[in-house]
Amino acid sequence: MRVEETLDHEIQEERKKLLVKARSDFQSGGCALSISLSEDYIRLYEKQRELEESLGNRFNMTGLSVTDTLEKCFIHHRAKEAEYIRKEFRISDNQFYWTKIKTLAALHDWAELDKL
Amino acid sequence: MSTAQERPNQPLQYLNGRINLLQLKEHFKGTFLDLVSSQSTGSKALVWDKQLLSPLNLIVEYSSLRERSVDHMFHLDTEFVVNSDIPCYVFVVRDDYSVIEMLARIALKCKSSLAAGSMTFSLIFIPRKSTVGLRLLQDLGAVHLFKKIESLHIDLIPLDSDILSMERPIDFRECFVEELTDLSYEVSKSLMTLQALYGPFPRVFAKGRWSCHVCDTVKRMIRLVDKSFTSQPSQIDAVVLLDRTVDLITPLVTPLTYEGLVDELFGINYTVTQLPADRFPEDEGKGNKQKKVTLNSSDELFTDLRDLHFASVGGYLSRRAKNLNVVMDERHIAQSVSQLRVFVAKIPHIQVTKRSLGLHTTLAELVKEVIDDVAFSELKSQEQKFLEEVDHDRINDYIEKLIGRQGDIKSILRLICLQSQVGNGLKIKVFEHYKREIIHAYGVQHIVTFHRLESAGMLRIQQQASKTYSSLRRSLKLTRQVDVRNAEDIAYTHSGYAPLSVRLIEQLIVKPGVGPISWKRVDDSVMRLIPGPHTEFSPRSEQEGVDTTNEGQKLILVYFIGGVSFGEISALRFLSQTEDSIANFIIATSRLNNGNKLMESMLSTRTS
Repeated sequence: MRVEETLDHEIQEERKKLLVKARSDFQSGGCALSISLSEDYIRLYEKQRELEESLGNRFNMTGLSVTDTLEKCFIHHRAKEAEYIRKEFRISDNQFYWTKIKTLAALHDWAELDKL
Repeated sequence: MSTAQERPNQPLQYLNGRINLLQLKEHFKGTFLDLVSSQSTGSKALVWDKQLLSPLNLIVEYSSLRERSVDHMFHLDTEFVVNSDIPCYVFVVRDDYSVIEMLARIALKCKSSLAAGSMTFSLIFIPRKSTVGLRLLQDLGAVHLFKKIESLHIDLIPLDSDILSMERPIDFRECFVEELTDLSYEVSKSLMTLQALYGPFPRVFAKGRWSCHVCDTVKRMIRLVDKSFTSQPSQIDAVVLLDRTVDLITPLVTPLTYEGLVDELFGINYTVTQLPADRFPEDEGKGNKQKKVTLNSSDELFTDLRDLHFASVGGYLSRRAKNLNVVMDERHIAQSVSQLRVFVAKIPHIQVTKRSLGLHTTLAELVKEVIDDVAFSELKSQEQKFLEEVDHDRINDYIEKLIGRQGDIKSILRLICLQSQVGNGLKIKVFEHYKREIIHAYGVQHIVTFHRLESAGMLRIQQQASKTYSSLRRSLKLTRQVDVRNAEDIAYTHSGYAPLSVRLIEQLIVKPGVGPISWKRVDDSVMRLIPGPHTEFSPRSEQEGVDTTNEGQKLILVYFIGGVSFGEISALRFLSQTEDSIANFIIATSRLNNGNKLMESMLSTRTS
């Protein structure tokens, strides 16, 4: 499976290339959902790069899932990006708020938690 | 290897000494020792593949290796260095890429002394050598450096007096996802070993595609062996081969028997479980974080406890503790010398019981802490709801919640698969929703996990509404109310769910009625609803007559291809002790499995 190969690579760019290949495999195999999911991750990699850069390259986000990335946005108070991820990847309310609550609790940000 | 490990030494009482599986152990031990001593007459060193230590530990003890002039033992790892003072090294290894690479590296380092003959290396592959492995050794330029390369077919390891297992780590996946025929070949081979030791099987029954495949292979293998083989008396009356595709539901459900729970919560591998050492005061100060405990029938108390529903465990332990106190108090009553002597004779037994009581009380406490937690009861009640077909056709709130919290992926997948099993597939919307949510939460690698679950039939998209599970549930009474403290039905093992696999066996043999055991006893509709073909045959030739079987209780070997759970084993043991029962069971399997181990083998392991 190409998807497994993808994860062997440390470097984000390499991962992305392989994932693009995997997507084309799914296309020829006709797995609609897998195509859209691999596309999600291809776009996610772009977003992760952006985030890394804006955070001064201090945080490596390679290999994080959508939810993990969302969590990172909350930790670094990137509400705008969090909202972008929510829309872009059609995160369910359930998932979005659970992640937010979990992160805020971990940060002891009770004030923000109260606002929810 | 440990020198003194507790081993099962007595056949279980209910088997009435009908069969001694230790014979199999002795057989493997004998062949292994002979093979080791044939390598060289003088002093030698054994180098162990670490993965083989646990299984071999159950078969051969250090003292008997010493007798065959094995003076040194090493682990095969990166720190292993050859000591030039030892003239002969025997490597006991699996046929595995990384192991062979390591062997080649070690051999090439000692090239000169090996060529000069001042030192010899030999290899024993367990369970067998492969052409691919040998070719690899050749390509690495090391094959000629080994004096002998042999293989030893140790397949089924007797884990207890009624359990044999191959303990293959990814048995389910290799069989039902990757469709490798390796496993079914190994199973067939092991059935031949058993027939050589315990006589030919008068009857063999198989249900499921892989079981039937094994059946065919065994038929062919029997034709190849010589006739003397069939003249032995049969100790086993029948064999039932079931593969996991017959019942994909049971491994997903959490069992509530004592042993089943210990396995789910702490894991039992090669009869050993690892517990937090700080809970055992006598172990404090030893500096180990984990305490290893061997759980098998050599522990009398455990034999009584293992199959009980957990709700009965506490009461049983306290009764035993009271009894022990009564016995201990006898020393105050004892007045005459002869009375004292009687008491003193009991002391060793009292001490063993006391130690065992202490252990199981602590272990039961550990289990109780987990299952008293709300999380566990929520999970259990969700399982039961699915099994009773409550709200199984829509997106489940509880599963949603677990994904939202990024809970343990294994238990989430177990529930999703269970939902799919009872609904004969998930509606496409439900399926896609779960898949998207899981891949978003846990990473893109789980596209592979989903693919595997689908290939194995654990998870699927509903093609058309079908009532397979409902009908089976009705006709096999899969769910029913039970009094778990006073078990009357095998459904006690899972608090209200009877394992489908064991229900099938119940129909095959326990059902009152005359006539020989046969698939014909099982309702046609049931046989049709359970996936996979079925077959039966008699390895003994017709002239000899099939009716050479023992009177009364029959001894049946149930072989689970693709794993068996402790819940199913308890259910089988229970079954053999019911009034209508005409059979006792021994169990063979490719692995003692539970839902977590099964999911573990399906997960895409590349961690991100």
